[in-house]
Amino acid sequence: MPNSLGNFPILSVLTFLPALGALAFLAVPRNRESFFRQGAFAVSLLNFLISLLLLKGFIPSSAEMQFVEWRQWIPGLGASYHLGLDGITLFLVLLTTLISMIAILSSFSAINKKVKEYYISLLFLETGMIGVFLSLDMLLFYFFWEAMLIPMYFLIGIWGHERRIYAAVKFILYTMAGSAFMLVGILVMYFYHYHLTGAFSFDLLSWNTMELPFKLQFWLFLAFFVAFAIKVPLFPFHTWLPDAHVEAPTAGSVILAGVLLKMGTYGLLRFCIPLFPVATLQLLPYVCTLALIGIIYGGLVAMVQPDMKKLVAYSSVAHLGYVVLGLFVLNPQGMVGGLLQMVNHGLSTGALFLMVGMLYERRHTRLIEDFGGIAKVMPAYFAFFLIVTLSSIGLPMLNGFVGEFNIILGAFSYSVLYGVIANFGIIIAAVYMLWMFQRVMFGEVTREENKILKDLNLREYLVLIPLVILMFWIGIYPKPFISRMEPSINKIISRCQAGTTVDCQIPSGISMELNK
Amino acid sequence: MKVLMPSIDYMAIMPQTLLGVAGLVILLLGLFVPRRRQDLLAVLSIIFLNISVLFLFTGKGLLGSVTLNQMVTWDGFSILFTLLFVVSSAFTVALSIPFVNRENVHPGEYYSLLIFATLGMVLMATTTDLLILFLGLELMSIALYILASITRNNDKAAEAGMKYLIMGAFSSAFLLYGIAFMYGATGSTNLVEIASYMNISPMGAYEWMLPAGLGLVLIGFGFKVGLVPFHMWIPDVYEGAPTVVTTFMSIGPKAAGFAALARFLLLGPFIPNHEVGNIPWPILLAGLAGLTMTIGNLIAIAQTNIKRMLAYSSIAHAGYVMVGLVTASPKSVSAIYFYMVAYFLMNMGAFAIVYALQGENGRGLALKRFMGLAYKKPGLALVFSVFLLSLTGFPLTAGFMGKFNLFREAVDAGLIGLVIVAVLNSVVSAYYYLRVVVFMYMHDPDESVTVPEIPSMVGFVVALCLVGVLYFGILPGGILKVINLLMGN
Repeated sequence: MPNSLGNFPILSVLTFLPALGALAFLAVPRNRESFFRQGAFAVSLLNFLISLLLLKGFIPSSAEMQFVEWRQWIPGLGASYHLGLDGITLFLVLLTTLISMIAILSSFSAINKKVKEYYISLLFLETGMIGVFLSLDMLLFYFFWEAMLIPMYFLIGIWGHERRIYAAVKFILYTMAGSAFMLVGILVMYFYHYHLTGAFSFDLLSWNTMELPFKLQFWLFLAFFVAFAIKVPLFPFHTWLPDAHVEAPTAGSVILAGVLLKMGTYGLLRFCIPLFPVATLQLLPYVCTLALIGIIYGGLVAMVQPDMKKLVAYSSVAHLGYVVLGLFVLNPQGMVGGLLQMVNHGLSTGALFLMVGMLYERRHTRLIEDFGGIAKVMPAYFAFFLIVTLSSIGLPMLNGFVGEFNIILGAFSYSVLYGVIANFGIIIAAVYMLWMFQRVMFGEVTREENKILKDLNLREYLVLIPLVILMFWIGIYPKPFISRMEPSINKIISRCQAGTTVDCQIPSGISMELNK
Repeated sequence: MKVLMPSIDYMAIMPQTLLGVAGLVILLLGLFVPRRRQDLLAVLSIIFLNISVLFLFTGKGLLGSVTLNQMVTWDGFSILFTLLFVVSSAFTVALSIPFVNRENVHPGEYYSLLIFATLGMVLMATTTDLLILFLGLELMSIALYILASITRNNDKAAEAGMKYLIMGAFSSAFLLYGIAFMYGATGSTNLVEIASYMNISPMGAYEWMLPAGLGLVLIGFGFKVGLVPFHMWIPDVYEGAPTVVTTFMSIGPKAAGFAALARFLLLGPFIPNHEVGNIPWPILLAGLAGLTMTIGNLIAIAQTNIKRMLAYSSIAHAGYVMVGLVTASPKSVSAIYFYMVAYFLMNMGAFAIVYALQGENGRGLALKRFMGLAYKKPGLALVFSVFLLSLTGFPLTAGFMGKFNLFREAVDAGLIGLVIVAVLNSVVSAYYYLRVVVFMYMHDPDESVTVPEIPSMVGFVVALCLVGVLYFGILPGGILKVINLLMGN
């Protein structure tokens, strides 16, 4: 299907270019380590540049899927190779290509063993992540969703820290358990679609036009919700996250926080809400409650962490709580804020993990008490850390503010109570982030080793500068981002509103009445 | 006096005849072929097996021919399963060459036993008559008893063979007793006739006989395919038998057992259309399926020997296949077949690698010996990981498509509870399959363990399996179409 970029299959290229690079790497002997570093960076840079073309060809006012590619895949099952991009995924894909590139660049000095396998894993991971965001066929989506786990599993398990194997296994088992329910849900949807229309199809766009009876919506919502809630992670499914983050290498944490967690919230927004609108409305208070618990709980637990990485990990639980809250208040401000906050969290938490990783590379510790007075020793590092911290807290003029403000606005207009509780979260965030900042940066330099720490080098500047520019850009002039998100968000909202008026009768002759 | 000969369609029994002749020829040649030329027998076996496959395709009108008083039936089901048996046997023969040379096994006996076992499996899948089915089953089983203990100086192998023999004989007795009851109730051993009897006349005075027979036959098959609680022999026999024989046992005979069970349950349509003797058969079968996969997976977690782990995993996979039998729709038979093909490829690949790595000791492998394998043999570790991921049921592999097809049919039949049990079992199985990956990739190499060279024949088989696993995992459209066409869906 022609698009504004001619017939260039840009989405397929974006998806499979990293995997092709990784396959080519397989043939290169393992002792050529610098080749793998530079090669992987080159592939990811190229992919990032190609993804910028999306901005050029994207029609901002449209809520429809763009750059669509469709091909038969398994005709007997009704599965197709169907890719597309809309305002929801546009910035998530850009975030993915950016974060992947930065993650690769950040590992040049950190990863010195099994270099070949490392970059191959990272590139396969990029393919998996982009594929998840672009798939419009549920079977294809499930393929990418599961396949992506393997490289992440290797990243944590091979290049992680002391308890890496425990963390890797926990990560994969948690996620698989969630997706197991989703697979059953997908199958039920698939047959329901067949009984309704007489055609086997995994196509999301045609699933989106189905009206399901409430009872079915309820169970299917739960089946999908478990998979996504574990990924987000939403309280009480979050226990894998601190382990995975703490044990993963820096690049792994960056990708985990920057992109992988977004898949959970993306799934909620793309599948749970529009496919099961009535169930969404019914279950909305419960989901919002979980999100609010996550905000407060994540913040409180983050406050008492002695380990910087664990602190940032728990802060993610709180931040993602905001995102889920924003998505589920089902009004334009909240949802746009939630979507924007997904991008923001990727930028600021990604940057936080990078900066903690930079300290770790120099000192081989992440404990807050081992530092102090770093501002004097590493002035440039201090400046960047300040901006990133403030962005994470949500200071005006920086990206975090725009997202959180919209979410809280949306929450207030849904329920004053939600808004007030969410506001508390911001205060807690300020406490734990600034307290950590103060203990690490200010005061006397208490440790001898810290006096000789080197400031940022050129590569580290290159890693951080793009993230900081984006933080300011979104903070000062978010309109280009929001205006591209709004049409797609509005479409989902109108779908939800229409869904409530539908007559919810189970059609006769359906063979899979849920036996609950 | 004129002797009446039954009319026999000789073309329709060519594949079976050829296999029987091949077994005898190999056995005889084994007496004359000198030891240093013994690979010749393997090559000859593969050629014979291939020719019998050719007969499947060239024999005009093989599809649909029924002969010998309905004792041989060639429908799509028979053809597909025969193909699977013969190909998996040919793969096993190729794998066996290093084993036969190393262990000094008599090649004539060994290869002819493999072929006779194959013949037994073919008989099981191509008949609708319970007696022929039993005949095939015994032919296969007796060959397997001997194969399991073919290295008779090895204590463990001898023990395995003995255990297998006793348990096998025991289960055969159940099966035969069940068949006798069914004959008593219906007056026939032919499944088609039994089914039509069921349709026209409700049970009379011998009301109890049919359900009793059905139950006994189920128990007999339960032993053969290793359903919990009839699975006890599997771990010991799989662990004790030579690895290449275990490879063979875990694929062909298992598939044959399921082929026969599918024929028995779905053709003689007792289940789920008929409530034979007021016993809730579908619930019973669903319980067996759930129990089999759960117990198999849970016990596999505790194993430290990879052969034993794969033995328990094969029990779990039998449980997944049972989901297809509980579903009992025409399409679920296609799904069962696809699953058996996928299982053949991934299990053959995984066992072949274990077989190649175990080297001289022949006693299976402790998981610890896989430590850091990825950094000694990166290619091999990668391929092994693919097989393990396929056994787990990860997308992009045949294992996923196999499970997907089975569960798809089950969901359509409304068996959502059973499917949830099955997918959660897949998650449990991920733990122990991925633990091997952990050992290979996430531990540093153990320098004291030397990794043997991989024989080229094994490498070839593994490569074929890998291609199959990935091809059927990513583009299963073609084979699904063929299967559905031949199965008549």
